[in-house]
Amino acid sequence: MAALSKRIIRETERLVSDPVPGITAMPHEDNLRYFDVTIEGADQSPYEGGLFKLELFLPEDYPMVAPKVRFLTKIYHPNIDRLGRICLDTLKKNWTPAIQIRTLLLSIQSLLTSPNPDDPLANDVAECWKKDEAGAIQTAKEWTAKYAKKE
Amino acid sequence: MSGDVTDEEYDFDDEISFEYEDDDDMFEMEDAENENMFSKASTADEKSPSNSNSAGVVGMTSSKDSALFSISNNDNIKRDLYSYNCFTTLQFFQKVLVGQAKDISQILNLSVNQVLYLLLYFNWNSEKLMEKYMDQYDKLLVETGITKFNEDKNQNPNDTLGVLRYQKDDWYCPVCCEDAVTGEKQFSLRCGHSFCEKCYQRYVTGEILKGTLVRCPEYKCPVALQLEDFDTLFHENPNVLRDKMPSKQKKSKQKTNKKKRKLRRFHPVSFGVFVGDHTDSEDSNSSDEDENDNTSNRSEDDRDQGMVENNFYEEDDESDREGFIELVKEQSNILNYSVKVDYIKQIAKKYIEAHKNLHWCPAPDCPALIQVNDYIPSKEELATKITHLPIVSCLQSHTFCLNCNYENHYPVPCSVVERWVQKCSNDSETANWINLNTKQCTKCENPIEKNGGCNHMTCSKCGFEFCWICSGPWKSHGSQYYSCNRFDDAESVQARDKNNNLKKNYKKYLHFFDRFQAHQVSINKDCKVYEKISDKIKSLQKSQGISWMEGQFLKNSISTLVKARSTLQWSYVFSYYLKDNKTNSALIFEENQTSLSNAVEDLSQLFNIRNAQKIIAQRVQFIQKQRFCVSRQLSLISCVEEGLSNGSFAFDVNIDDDNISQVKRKKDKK
Repeated sequence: MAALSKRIIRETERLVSDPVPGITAMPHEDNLRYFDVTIEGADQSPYEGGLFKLELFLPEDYPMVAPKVRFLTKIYHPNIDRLGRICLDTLKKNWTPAIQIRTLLLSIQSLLTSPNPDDPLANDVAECWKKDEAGAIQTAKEWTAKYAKKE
Repeated sequence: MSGDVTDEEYDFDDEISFEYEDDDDMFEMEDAENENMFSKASTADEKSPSNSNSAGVVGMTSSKDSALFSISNNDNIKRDLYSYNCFTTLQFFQKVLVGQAKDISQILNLSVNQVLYLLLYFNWNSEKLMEKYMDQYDKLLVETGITKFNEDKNQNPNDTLGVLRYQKDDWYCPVCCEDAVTGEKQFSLRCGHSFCEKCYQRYVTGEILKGTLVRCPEYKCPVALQLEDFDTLFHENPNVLRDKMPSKQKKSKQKTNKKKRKLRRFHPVSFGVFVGDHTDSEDSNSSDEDENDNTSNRSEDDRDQGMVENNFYEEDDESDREGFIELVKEQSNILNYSVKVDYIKQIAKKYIEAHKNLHWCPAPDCPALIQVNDYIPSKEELATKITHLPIVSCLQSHTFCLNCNYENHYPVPCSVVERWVQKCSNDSETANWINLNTKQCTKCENPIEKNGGCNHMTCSKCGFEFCWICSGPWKSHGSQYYSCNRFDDAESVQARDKNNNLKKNYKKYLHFFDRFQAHQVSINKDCKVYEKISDKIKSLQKSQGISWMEGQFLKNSISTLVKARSTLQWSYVFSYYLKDNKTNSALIFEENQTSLSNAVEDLSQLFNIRNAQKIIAQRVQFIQKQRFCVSRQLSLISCVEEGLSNGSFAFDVNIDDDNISQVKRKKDKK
């Protein structure tokens, strides 16, 4: 494993010393490129009260390429599939090296508040979301209560 | 066909050369249904000036004038049936894309580079760009990041470019997070988002592969790099691209001449980033000096850039084959690597792939690009109109069909070509062995090899038991080993017939494949002769004192020979797939084939003459045989077209059904 770049060290330090409200990110002791992340569901969203676990990995070429992020907690969301993969432009074509882990996690958090069923990853969820939004939000709430309970 | 084409004199004329064809010289097929006529029509010396000439043939002969002129004109716009241009990627960018930007820039009062930027922003949708611009241009300019937020549009255009500055002590790069180092630089576009030079370069090098605008790395910043920014960021000479275009400049001739001399002197090894005028490289070096000095130098630099730009965007209408070959060499020269040029190539590539009228030359490693200006009929439309095949040739003399990307395949329709190529690419030797040494299981058609003496076969796949000798089921054989008395059994006869049929088809295939292959070999050899011919013509010009124009007959002959041979070659494929070869039309076709074959061999024989003086003496012979060859080729093609359009030719769809393809199809089904 190549030596950690100054960028990763600085970002980690700041994530720990000055955490974003509602978000935690801790690097693994044995692999400092691998982070355990938690995101709280924002208030006024179907995910309110939930605590979602994610994993985040910084590839060798980071920050020239985007980190790999995945939800570990089951979540009912049109842009997140059942394997936890996230469809987010910031992770794909809109990635630029100036985006930091914290900006990225913030945009994932805001994806939870504003789902985009027109650009879906989980087709079945997106279809429900379009046909019966109230019902879909209800399911999302149920899933949050069932799988993302705060301990 | 990679002849020695670097010498522009030997401009290989790639149109089907019907230019020596006089209209009344054409051998036309009389009505194919008229039985009495075919012997007459097939007699080579007879002329039957019929008017049943199809439109396609007329179209071809009418192109004869331009084809003739193209020998001397070196016009890179070749006029075949369809009009098309040939470019390298860079040429295409310069001529077509920049041309488009230029037109718009005149209307919109923006610089060419700015329009290019906007076109990229709108994905080359110029109408949308114009519409948006007319609607509210200030908003558009800010939105796209061309101007700084709501600034005066008439600002100095240089202010919209990016700058390299020395890093200040309290600064650190947000990408690598390294602290400022004295002497190192940071780069920022007009948005002011600074990153260290190395990070910026690394970022841009990766981004250009997308073939779209390269935006400032800052999150959601709309500002993107303009072409000039690449020069600044990568310390490249702004002229690097123009130098790569050996264009014939009309304005500022002195400077150009100087450049050209430089180009030749440095060529090819040191023709890298540092090439160009001495003064220029000094200018770019000066950016390494003090920051204050740098800014004063910049304006000079920019003025220079502006001037150069005028040259850069100048049309070079006379770019010729020699130039093209040179460009190809330049493009493949790694030492010439420039990020800006690479960026431009990616842009062009993206544009090319999105547009159906642009085709890459399918020849390996040929960077040529064909831009078609006419409507190309679909494969279905072309199925019977053989003479309308979109056969084009790039400036490196690779001739190919735009529809199927295979070589010049007159007189066979694309669909048949595809089947033939697929058949030949099946390992034909293996297929051959399988057919001769195996039998198919009568039940599941699995090929079976006999690996022992016993004739009682049991299919390993389906378990069916049968007799190797008669192919009939074993059940009825009882215990009569080796004395198969069931010979006339209906089932075994059927099974044998099937196998025999396959073998017959295979023999037919081999027969035509041999001929096809033989002519391929001959074509390759003819091409080699062609390479030598150019030397020969040169020596003729010197020793015999003949004019350049007079020497052309040799080149035309070899060109005709290659094309006629190719038509002959493909006519065997036609024969192979022809369903019924006993009809009158088929006989006429075969007669035509034979006489083309004779014509080709006659002409080919003339090239055995090595003595230059004898060649000149035989000049009339050359021209006559060449003309004859062309006429035979033409009549074969038109015979096929006529037959296809009136339905007297049909292709046998099932002929490829040997056991190999059957097995394959079964696999596909699964």
